[in-house]
Amino acid sequence: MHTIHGQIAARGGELNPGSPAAPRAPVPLGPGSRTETGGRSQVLRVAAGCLLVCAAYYLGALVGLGLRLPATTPSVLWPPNAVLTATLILTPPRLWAVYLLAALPAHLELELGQNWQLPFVLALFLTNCSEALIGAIGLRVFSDAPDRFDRVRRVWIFVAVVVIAAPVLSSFADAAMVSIFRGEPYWFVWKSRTLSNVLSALTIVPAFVMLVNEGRSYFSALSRRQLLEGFFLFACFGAVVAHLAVRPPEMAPLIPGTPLTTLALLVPLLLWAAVRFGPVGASVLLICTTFVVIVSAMTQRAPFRWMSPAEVVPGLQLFISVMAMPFFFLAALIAERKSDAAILEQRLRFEQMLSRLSATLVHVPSNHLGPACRAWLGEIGEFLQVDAATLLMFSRQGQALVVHHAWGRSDSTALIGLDVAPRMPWCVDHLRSEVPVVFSDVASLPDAAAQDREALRALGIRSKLLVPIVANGRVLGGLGLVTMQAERRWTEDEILHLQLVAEVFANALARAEADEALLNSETMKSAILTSIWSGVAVLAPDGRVLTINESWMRLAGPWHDAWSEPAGAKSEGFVPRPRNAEDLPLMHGGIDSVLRGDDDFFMHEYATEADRWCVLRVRPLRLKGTGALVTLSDVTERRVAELEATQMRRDLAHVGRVSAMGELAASLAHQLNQPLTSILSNGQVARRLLDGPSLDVDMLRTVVGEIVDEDKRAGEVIRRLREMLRKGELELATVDVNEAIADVLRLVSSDAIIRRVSLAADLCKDRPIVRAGRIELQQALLNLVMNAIEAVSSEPPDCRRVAVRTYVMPDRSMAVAVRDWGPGLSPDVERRLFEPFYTTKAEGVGLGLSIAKSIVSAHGGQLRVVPNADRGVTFEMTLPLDDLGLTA
Amino acid sequence: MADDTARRQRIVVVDDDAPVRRALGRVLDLAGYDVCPLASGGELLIELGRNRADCVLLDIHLPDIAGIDLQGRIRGLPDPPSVVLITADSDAARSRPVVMAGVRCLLKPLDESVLLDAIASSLRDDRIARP
Repeated sequence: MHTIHGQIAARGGELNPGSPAAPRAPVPLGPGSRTETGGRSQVLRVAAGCLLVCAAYYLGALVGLGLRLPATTPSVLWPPNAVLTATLILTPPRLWAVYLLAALPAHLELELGQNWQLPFVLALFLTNCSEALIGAIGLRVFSDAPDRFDRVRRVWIFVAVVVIAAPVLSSFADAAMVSIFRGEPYWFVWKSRTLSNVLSALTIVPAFVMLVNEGRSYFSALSRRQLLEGFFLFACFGAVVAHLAVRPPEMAPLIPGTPLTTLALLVPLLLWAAVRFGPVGASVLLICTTFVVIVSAMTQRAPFRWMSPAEVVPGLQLFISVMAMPFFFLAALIAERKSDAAILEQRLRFEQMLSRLSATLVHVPSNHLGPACRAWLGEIGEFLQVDAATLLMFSRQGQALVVHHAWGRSDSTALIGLDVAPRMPWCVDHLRSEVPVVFSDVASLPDAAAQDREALRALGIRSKLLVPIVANGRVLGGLGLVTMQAERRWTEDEILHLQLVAEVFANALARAEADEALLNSETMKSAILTSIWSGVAVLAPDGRVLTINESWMRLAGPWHDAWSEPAGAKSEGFVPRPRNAEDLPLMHGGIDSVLRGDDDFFMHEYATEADRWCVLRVRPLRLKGTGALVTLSDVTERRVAELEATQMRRDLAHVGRVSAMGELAASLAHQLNQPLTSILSNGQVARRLLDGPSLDVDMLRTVVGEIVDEDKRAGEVIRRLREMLRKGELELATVDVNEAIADVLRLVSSDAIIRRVSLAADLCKDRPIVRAGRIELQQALLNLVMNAIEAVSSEPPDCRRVAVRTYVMPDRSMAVAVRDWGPGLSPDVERRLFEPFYTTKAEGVGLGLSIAKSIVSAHGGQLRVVPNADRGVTFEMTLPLDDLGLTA
Repeated sequence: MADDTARRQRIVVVDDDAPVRRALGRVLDLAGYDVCPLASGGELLIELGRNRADCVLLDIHLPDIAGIDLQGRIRGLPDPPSVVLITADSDAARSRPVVMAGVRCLLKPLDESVLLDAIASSLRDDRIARP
C-alpha cells in the first residue's frame, strides 16, 4: 500500500489510538518544521528548532551545573543530555547533526564558564552527544514508535535503551574524561554520572517528548472533571512538597525515627497520576517529584536535615529511578489497555456500522441507492469525525470523476456534480491505479500534485483520505473523507475501515450497475417485443410458455386472460383457438415437432374463432436447450383483401356476363323494335282505315304489305342472331380431366374458404384424357362446382362440403361426379334445372347449368343430376375418352 | 285535335328507317297533321331553314347527326318547333343527355294514342311557352 504520511494529528490521541503494527514516521520537532518539503520555510523552521534546542540545553545545563555535589564534576541531575535525547527522538536523523551542533554554543558558554579546559569541555559534549545518539538510535532500531510511551513494550525498550544502556555506556567515556582532565576517581565518577543520567533520562525525556508531541492536544482534551482532578492532585502534591520543604525544623517526623516518611506520601500521588492521567500525567508529576526531592536533599531540607547530600543523593537517585519505573509501566499498561479497549470499541462500532451499511445497501433497490449512499456518507462522516465525505464516480468513458453524493458539516451540495478530474489529476491518477490517496496536510503533497494542492486549498480542504471503489477489477470511483477545520493524520485503521466501506459501496454500485444493465436489456427486450405487431411467444423445451408479448394477447383475444401471467404455464392451447377444431391438433403437432427438433420450421395459416386469419410460424430457439420461438401474424387484412379481390372478380364477371347479355338484348331489342314499330303503327293505321267512313283499299293494301315485309324483317333479325350465336367453334385438344379439375379447385378454393366450405377431391389414379375444348370443359366444371358450393353455403357446418370424384365408366367413358350436401332439388326445380335463365338465386343469371349442359353436349357427353341417398345431389358428367384412352 | 285549328299543324318526322318513317307518317296524317318525312339530321336542318314546322318527331339514333344534338340545335333556332324524341333503345331513352334535355322521349314500338298525346301536349306546351 502506498500511503503518504504527512504530519501531526491535530486531534487527540483518543482519535488516533494507533495500532502496534503501524509504521510511524518520526515527527519533526516544533512548529517550525512541519513539512519535509518547502525550502525556505523549512530552513526557518529548523533554525527556530535549533534555537529552542540551544535554549533548552542551556537551561538544562544551568540546572544541572547547579545541582552538583561539592567538589564533583558530575551533576546530580543532568537535563541537557535528556534534552538532546528527546530532540533526537523527535527529529529525523538527517537533522540530528544540526540539532546537536545547535546545542554546542550553550554547552561551551556554560562549561567554559566553569574554567574548564576547552578539550575537556568538548570531550564532555561528545560524551553527551554519544549518550543521546545511543538512546535515539537504539530506540529507532527497536521501537515501533520511538516518540510514544503508551504501550508497555515501548516503555520497556525506552527503559532498556535510553534509560539504562545509553547512560551506562556513555558514562564509561565520560568518567574517563573526568578522571583524565580533573583527576577524579574513575568509578566514582562513572557511578554518580550513570545514576544522575539514568534519573534524567527516565524523568525528563518522556515528559519532554510527550509534552512537545501531544501536550497541547492532551491538555485540551481533558474534561473539566479531569482538570479539577488534576488540580486536586497537584494540590496534594503541593502539600507534600510543603511538608518536605517548608516544615518547621522543630516538627517531629510523622513517624518518629523515620525522617523520610514524607517521601512515602509521594508514592500514592504518583500512582494516582499514572492511573488517572496516563504516561503524560505520570511523567509530569515524576519530573516535579524528582526536582523537589533532589533539591530538598541538596539543600538539606527537613527530612534530610541530618544527612549529607553526598550520602543521601545517590540513594535518592536510585530510589526515584527504581520507584518511577513501575509507575511508568503502570501508566503505559493502563494507556495500552485503554487504547486497546478504545480500538476494540471503535472496531466494534465500525463493524456494526459496516454490517448495517452492507445490509442497507444490499436490500436497497437500485433506484433508491442514491439517497441511501447520501445517508451513509453522513453516517460514515460522523463516525470517523471528518468534515465532509464524498462519493465520486468515474464517468462511463472514465474521463471525468464526478462527485455523485456528498455529505458535509457545512453545506456540501455545491460539490455535487463537480468534476474533479481536471482539478486534481494527481489524486485521480492514484485512484485509477487503485491506490488510496492519504495526506494529513495539503502542504505535504509532492510537487507532482501542485495542481491538486491549489484545487484542494481552493476548496478549503486540509487533509484527505480517498480510497478507490473497485468492483470486478474496474475502478468505479472513490470514497473520500476530508477535514477542513484542522489537519488530520489518518491511521492505518481508518484507511482500512474506509477501504472496507468502499468495498461495500463497490458491491452495491456494481449491483446497481448490473441491475441497470439488466433493466436496460429487459426494458429493451420488452420494448422490442411490445413494438412488434406480430404476436411473439417463447417456449421452453418442455413446451412451457416463457414469454408472450402484448400483440399475442391482442391476437389471442379475450378468452386469453389466463395468459396474462404466462410464465411457467403449459403451452397447451396458448394459440388462439381455431374455428375448425382439426386445426388445433395440427398446430400442436407442428409446435411439438419443432420443440423435439424433428422439424426446423412449421407454419400454418388458419381462421381463429374470433374470425381472424392468423399465420402461426414456429422456429427452434437455439439459445439454451432448444425451446421455440412462435410468431403469430394477423393476416386477416390480407385475406380480406384477397377475398374482396376474388369477390370483385366474380362480381365483375357476373356484371360482364350480364352486360354482355344486356348488350345482346339491347341490340336485339333495337333491331326488333324497328320492324315492330312499323308493324304496330301500320296495324293501327289499318284499323283506322277500316274504321273510317270510306275505305281506301289501295292505302290499306300498302299498309298491310308493309306489315308483312316488316314481319319478315323481324324474322330475319332473329335468324341472324341465331347464326351469330352459333358462330363459335370448339377448338378440340387432348385434355387431362384430373388436371382440369385440379385447376378448377384451385380457382374456387378462396371462395370455398370464404364460404367455409370444405372441398374434397378423389381423382382416379390414371390420367383420363379426353378430346375437348379445355376452356369450355373447365367452364362446365367450374359451373358445376360453383353451383355445388353455393348449394351448401347456407347449410350447417358439417354439411358445408363438396366432393369431386373422377372415375372411368364400364363403357370406357370418363365420369366426373360433383357431389354436394345441400338441401337437394324440388321436383319442379329438377325439371327446369337446365333451362336457360332459370334460377333460384336472387342474383343468379340462370345460365350456369344450361351452359354446362350445352358444353357437355357439344363434346358428345351427358350431364345429369342424381339425388343422393342422404343429402344433396350429385351432378354426373360423362365424356367419351380419347382414343389414347388412359395414360398412366 | 288538329282539325280544330285554323290550319293543319306541320310535323317533321325524322327516322333513317324508311318503313318506320312511313308508318309514323301515316298515323300522324290520319290524325290530321301535315307530315314532312325526312331520313337524316342534315335534311332536317335544311328543311327547318326553308319551312317552318310546329313539331319535330326525332329518332335519337340517326346515321349523320345524333338526335340529341339536333334537338339542341333546333332550340337555338328563331321560333323553334317543339321536339319529341323516339328511340328503339330503352337505355338511350334513360341516358343522361336525354333526361337533361328535358324533352319527351318515346320508346318504339309506339302505341298510336301515346304518340298523338305526346305530340299534342308538346304542341300545347310550346304554345304556352311562347307568348
